[in-house]
Amino acid sequence: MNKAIISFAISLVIGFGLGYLVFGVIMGDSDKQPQIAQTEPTDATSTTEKQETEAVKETASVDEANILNSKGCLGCHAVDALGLEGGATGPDLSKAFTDVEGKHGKPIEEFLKEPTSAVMSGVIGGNPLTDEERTQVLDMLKQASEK
Amino acid sequence: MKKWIPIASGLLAGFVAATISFADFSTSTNNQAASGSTKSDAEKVYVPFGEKDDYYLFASGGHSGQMFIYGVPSMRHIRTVPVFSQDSATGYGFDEHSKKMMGGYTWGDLHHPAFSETKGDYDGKYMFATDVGNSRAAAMDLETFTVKDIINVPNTSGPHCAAFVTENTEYMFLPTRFAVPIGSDYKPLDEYSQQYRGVMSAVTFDQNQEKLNIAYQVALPPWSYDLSDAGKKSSADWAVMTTYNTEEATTNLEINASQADRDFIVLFNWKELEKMVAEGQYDEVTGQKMIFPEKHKGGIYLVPVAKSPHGVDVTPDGKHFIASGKLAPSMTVFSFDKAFEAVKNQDFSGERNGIPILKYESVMEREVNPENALGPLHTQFDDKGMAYTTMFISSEIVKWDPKTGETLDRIPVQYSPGHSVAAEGDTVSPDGKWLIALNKIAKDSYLSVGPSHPESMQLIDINGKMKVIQSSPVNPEPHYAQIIKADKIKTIEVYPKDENNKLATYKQEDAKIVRNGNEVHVYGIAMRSKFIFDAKAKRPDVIEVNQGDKVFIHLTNTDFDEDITHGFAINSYNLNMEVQPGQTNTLEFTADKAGTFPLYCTNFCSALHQEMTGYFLVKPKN
Repeated sequence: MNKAIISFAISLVIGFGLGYLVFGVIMGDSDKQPQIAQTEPTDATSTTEKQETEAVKETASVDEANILNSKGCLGCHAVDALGLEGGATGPDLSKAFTDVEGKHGKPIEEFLKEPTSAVMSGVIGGNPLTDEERTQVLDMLKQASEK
Repeated sequence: MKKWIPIASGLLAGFVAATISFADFSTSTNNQAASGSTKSDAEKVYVPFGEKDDYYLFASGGHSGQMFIYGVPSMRHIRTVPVFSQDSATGYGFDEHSKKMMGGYTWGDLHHPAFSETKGDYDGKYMFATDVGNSRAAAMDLETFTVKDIINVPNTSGPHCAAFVTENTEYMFLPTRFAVPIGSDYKPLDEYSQQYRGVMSAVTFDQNQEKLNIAYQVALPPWSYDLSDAGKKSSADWAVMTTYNTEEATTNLEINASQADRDFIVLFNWKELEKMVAEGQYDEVTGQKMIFPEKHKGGIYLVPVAKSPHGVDVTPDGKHFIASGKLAPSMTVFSFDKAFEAVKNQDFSGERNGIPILKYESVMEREVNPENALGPLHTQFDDKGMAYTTMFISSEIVKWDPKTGETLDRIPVQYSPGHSVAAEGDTVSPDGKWLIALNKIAKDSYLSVGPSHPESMQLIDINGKMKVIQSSPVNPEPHYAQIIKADKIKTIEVYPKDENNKLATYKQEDAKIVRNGNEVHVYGIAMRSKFIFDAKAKRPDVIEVNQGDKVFIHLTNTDFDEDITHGFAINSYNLNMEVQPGQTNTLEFTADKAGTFPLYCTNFCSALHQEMTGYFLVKPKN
């Protein structure tokens, strides 16, 4: 009797395995293959794209790195004229060199020392630029305004 | 017990258990496998975040008076552009420019949008639209998606079969739906046939000045003009429009305008009409140059067509025009070449109201009557010249070949399509790919919003067999639409500085308030995150006037930075406008209410948007 139970149990496992082979692997394949085929290339392309964009970004920031990047300006501002991508929270600074005086009522050099807008007061107040840094920022913004 | 029993039963039980666990009982396996090779319907309309649609759809907003802009194929609603009605979201109809354009009206019924064209193709510069409610036409600039000019069209009532533009946007012709006496003067309806007219206006658009003008008008018979299309290529100098109520009935038109077996298509040569005007063959009436066809012959002909026709559409090659009948179950294909021949040979069957009638048989190419298709209205075309006609009554789109009349495909839509629009489907070179059915009824298609159900636009894939793949609810009510390739439209990012604009203030220090008698002019600045109305004042963000003063607020947005739009509203003063980046806009009003009224920026502009406020103080009269 024990033997019969053991044979039943062994056959049960074999039968289950057989069933899995038929339904799970052989027939399941037809379903899954296209899915795998579709997802793989998509993943691959998106990773390559990502790598490419990252590579492009890196070169841009390495070439132009400098002060706007190291002081974190690009976190909020882009400078389209210099090809510098940046955040969209603050205005694009391409024309800042010429426009700040009219818009904020003081020359950009003064504005960078003591901004009149609430957001920039907070930013610069807590982390003021040294004279050298300010000169570098002004240089870059001048360059941008002339493009 | 025999040895094989436990083994066999074990195998069987195991197999059954595996079957239950792993076998796929759903019937979708085959479908999935079949669609695995092509995109699913959902994928065809899915535009992932960061990517953009291939086409713009400009859909008329009917009696909302607005234009709805959608992306295709996603069918995402991108923007509502106010045209003939006030719009508090943008302050349209409140600021001076738009208020003046609207001429005292607060609403309109925008029926048919039309793009400006160059050589019969959309050039992406302007969009035109007409107002059936208050007889106007508008021109929208596609650099900014704003209306630049609106013209009131005299002597007509309800330019329904417009706007359609000629091949190089030389003219827009605006014929009337409701016949009225010239100047809309009072005349008894018993004198309808003698005193009423269906006046058609030839409207020009000066692209440099961005101004609409009326070049001349034509006093057509007192019939109802319904739809129209301009010729193309070899028929470019011509245009066609359908007309009903040739019975000249004056009451219960539902019955009385459907008596005669045939109505007409008006066929006219606008080059010839232009020449007649140049030669002085017109009368001066209510300040307009008006051609009376019974006096000044030439250029206008009638083509008999099955009763109460509705749509008339010119094929992309410009060789044929197709009329569809509200009350006739068939489409009729007419030949321009045959019509030109008949005109040349004076092959007329008579005259109506002084206009020669061409013989039906001489101009007709074929009658097309797809089996059980009822209520043909409008026809669009694909890149292979095949026609797609909406069937209002049988709620379907029928694809057919204009060259043979053969029915090629049919698809049901939900329900009662008026117009449909194909990608660039009324140009000389339609794109194919997409067709959108503009359905008048959409019972039970969407979540209920009460007794009035949302209307719908259904996107149909016309690559191969037609298939409805997306459905988009729309505010009441779609009439017509146009689909243009997205890359044809070049929008600007900010308004350029205009140093010649005396109302603009670009520098903080120039912000000032100037009083002249009881007129107060405010030259102010809006920037994130403050208003400056008077740079030298103790409180630069306060405007103080006396009760009864006439106030002008000229506000410039000095954020030359895309997407930083400011709004300006005064509490309880029913006033509101918008200044887009770099733009200067003006509000003009009388400060008739004394009191203290906060003013604020309505359009979210930055983290400190909430702080962008001030006060409008009105000192009471003693």
